[in-house]
Amino acid sequence: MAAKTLLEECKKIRHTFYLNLAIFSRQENDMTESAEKSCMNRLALHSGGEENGCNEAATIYVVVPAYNEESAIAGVIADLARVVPAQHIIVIDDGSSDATYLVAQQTGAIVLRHFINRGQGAAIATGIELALELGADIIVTFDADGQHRATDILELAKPIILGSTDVVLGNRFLKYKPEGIRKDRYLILKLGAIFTWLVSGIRVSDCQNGLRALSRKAARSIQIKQDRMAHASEILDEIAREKLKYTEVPVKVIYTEHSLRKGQKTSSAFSLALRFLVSRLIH
Amino acid sequence: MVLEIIIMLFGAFAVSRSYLRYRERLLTLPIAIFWVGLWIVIVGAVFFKNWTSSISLFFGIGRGADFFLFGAILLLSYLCFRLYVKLEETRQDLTNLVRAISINEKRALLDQAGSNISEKQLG
Repeated sequence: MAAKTLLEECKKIRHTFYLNLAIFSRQENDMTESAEKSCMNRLALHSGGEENGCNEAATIYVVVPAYNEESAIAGVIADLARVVPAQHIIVIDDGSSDATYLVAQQTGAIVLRHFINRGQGAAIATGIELALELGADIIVTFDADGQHRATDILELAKPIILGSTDVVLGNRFLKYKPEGIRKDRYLILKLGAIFTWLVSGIRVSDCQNGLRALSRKAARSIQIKQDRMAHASEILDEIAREKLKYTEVPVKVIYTEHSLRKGQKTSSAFSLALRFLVSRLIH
Repeated sequence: MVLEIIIMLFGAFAVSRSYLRYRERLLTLPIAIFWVGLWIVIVGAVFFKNWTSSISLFFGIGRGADFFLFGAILLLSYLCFRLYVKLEETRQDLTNLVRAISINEKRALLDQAGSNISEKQLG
């Protein structure tokens, strides 16, 4: 029993060490790409931790729902592949009418295809189901339009690896100033935060951020039934319902012409809120 | 009298449609009985106004027609809700089907590629 406890401590120390090394080195900009990848491999992946009998590595899978993203998907996967191995990136082509599926397949990532479009929430739920089946310890959801930075995954994974929380939510307002965000979008996000607080009792200031990390326990207990964009509110609602521990970490959102064009329309915010409320009456 | 005849003809049409849908197995027996019963009550209410008035007085509503109007609104609201629930269930079933197909396809490919999805992981 004592040996087992010692082994557990060993695992925690190793994880913390590699995690801090990765974050520190990246912040100091003194890490080469290969060194960063090696460090991340040791931190989170199957290849790490097998030496010295510490076969404890937390396996991170990244779920990327994609709909008509042929122009952006290859770049997003290439960025992610600097942080996690390509075979730990699950792309769900959600019935795209363009070449998203073919482009993603050429990257080495795991690519699934919904033969008809079912919405981002449905695609994320599909990715989470496969990631759990493949043995994921941490599941990160990541938008396919290029608005997120793969390196933010480090900060998202850290609280879960250290066992301090079940869910880590990316927040674009905590540290970085979101450049390029439209004023109406900003207002809707703030109103959405108040709506989430009133309806679900969860206090977050960025309720629609697609970058989040779930522990295996959280991923198994959160049920995503909202197929379309209302899934973001539903996940927060599920966190409250399942009494999961959550925290927010700052992430940078990059607004490009492409991501702004692909993003939610301001006018759809009210219908999303209504759909979410009605679904709560039914389920 | 013209209104009574129109409602009776429409009621007969609705009952015959319900019966035919039941014969085609598009309606279950309880649902068919519900629709036939509903139209019989509606047609009966048109012809026996005294009967509806006594019911409406019992519920504290002045006129029989008002009572049936309130009842119809309540019933329609409930049917809308039932329809919405059914639609949501169908939507969820469709999503589950699409998900199962995509994961099964990928699972087969991963198995072919010698992926190490063990029984433990599947559990």
